[in-house]
Amino acid sequence: MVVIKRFNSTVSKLPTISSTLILSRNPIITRELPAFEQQYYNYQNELWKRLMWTFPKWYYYRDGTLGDQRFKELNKPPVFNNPKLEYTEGRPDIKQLRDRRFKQVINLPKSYKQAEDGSEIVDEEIQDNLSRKINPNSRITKADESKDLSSLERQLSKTLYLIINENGWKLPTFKSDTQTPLHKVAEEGLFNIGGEEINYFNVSSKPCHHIKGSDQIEFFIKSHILSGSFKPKNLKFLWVTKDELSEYLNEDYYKQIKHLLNE
Amino acid sequence: MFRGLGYTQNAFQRTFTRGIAMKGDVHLSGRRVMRKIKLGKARPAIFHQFETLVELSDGSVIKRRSQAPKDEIRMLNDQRNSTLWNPHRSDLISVDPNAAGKVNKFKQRFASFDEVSSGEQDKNGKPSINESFLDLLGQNVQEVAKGGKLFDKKQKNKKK
Amino acid sequence: MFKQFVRFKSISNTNASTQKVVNQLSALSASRKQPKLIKLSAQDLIKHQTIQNAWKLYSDKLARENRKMLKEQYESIYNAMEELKQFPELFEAAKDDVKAPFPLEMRIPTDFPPNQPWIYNYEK
Repeated sequence: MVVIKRFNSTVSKLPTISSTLILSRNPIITRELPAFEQQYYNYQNELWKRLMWTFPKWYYYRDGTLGDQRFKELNKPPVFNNPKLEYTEGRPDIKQLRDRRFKQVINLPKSYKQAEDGSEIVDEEIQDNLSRKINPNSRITKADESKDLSSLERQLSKTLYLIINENGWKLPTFKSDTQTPLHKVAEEGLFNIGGEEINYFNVSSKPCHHIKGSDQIEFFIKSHILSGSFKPKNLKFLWVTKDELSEYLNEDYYKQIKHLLNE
Repeated sequence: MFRGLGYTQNAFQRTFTRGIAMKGDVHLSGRRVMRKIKLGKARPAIFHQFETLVELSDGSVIKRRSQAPKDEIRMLNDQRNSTLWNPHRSDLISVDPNAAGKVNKFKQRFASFDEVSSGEQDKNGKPSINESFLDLLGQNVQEVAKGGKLFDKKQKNKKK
Repeated sequence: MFKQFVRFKSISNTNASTQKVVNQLSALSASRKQPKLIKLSAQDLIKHQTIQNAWKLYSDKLARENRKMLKEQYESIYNAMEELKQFPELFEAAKDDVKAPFPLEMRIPTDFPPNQPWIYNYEK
């Protein structure tokens, strides 16, 4: 049996090591779809709607109830197939109040009062009405508009990474001895520079990457910030996306760690 | 007169038989046998689905498809404001699920009628006529509390 | 003499239980609910196939990039651990990974952001 010793004891001096933290803020909203994907999904969605079965109205709205009445007010029956008439756009094929040649469009009764154009009539007597209309928040936040790079509320659809300014922009790096585990070094370092009010999740105690210099090795530790805030004293810091990171970091350095980062 | 009778009988039958499904009583006719599907004629089951917006308790909105005829759903208590799922937060506000619906709106508007008819006290602090009648009925009588406001009022009085 | 007011349709001979089951089955079955098949002309069919092929190429490309990235990530973990063998204590510490519970506060992305995009409140 042959035993290969990779590192024999003749190595005179061990290199110094450091632990680099890749602290990411995961996306809060879904990614922006590229134009092609958007178009393809629209196409598939329309095909899907066209092939959907008729809505079983009798199952959800019992005959003669108030809900049934509201539904009927909103949805007029389609053109009746009169055998004595000629239709210019083809003979309707009505089954269960749906023309089976087309997709079925249904207007549902709303939980709020509606104006004729479909917008909501706001009842000012009842504040914080729980049956109000759903108005989704904008996907672009104030931090995006003011271009505040140090805010955690920017670029919600992308992953953000923490970089700090210590003689140039870089990922937070901490000197390590050969005793303390790498992820502990990174954790303590983070709390030292950024305060204790950070809720973060360390992915693994294993380093995910290393960069070897002449007499020093840099190990990378991945973790996520979940809540809380990074509040350092006298230290410039930014939260940037993967694309922006290439502008701040050394080109060679960025190329070496590119595959560790998400969009 | 006949009209009224016809209506009530029908409605009665309807409401009375609603929600009863006894296994032994179901007799499906033999007609409802699955027809054989010819080769190459099979089509997938695509149920009618609505595009629904679901608002979570923290205001974030999810788009999803759903078979139920509702295009807007609002969650009052969910993962986003539950203390179980947010062990490190101290600023959580949980919403009373009963404060949501039409029933509560109705109660808010008409609870005052209920209040007048029962359980109010005079200026002197003596119980009103209704309450004195309750005393006549004997001990251990509990008033049926209706309407959210009324319930609160009674509890306050007890504390004093 | 009087025309009787009919609020509901006449109730069929079957009993209520049967009626309920029939109602449920009819909501599930395809009969009378399936729309017509889409009949595409030859030209439209070519268009459709082109779209599908384009999508296939696109998703293949994405999958390839993804696989490549995962492979690179695996290799860098492997190499880093090999390098770490110089420091036996660190290596042992990295090897027996403390299985921290998955964080409860991690959230999946939604389509639109919450009222307060980031939670600054944190108490240990």
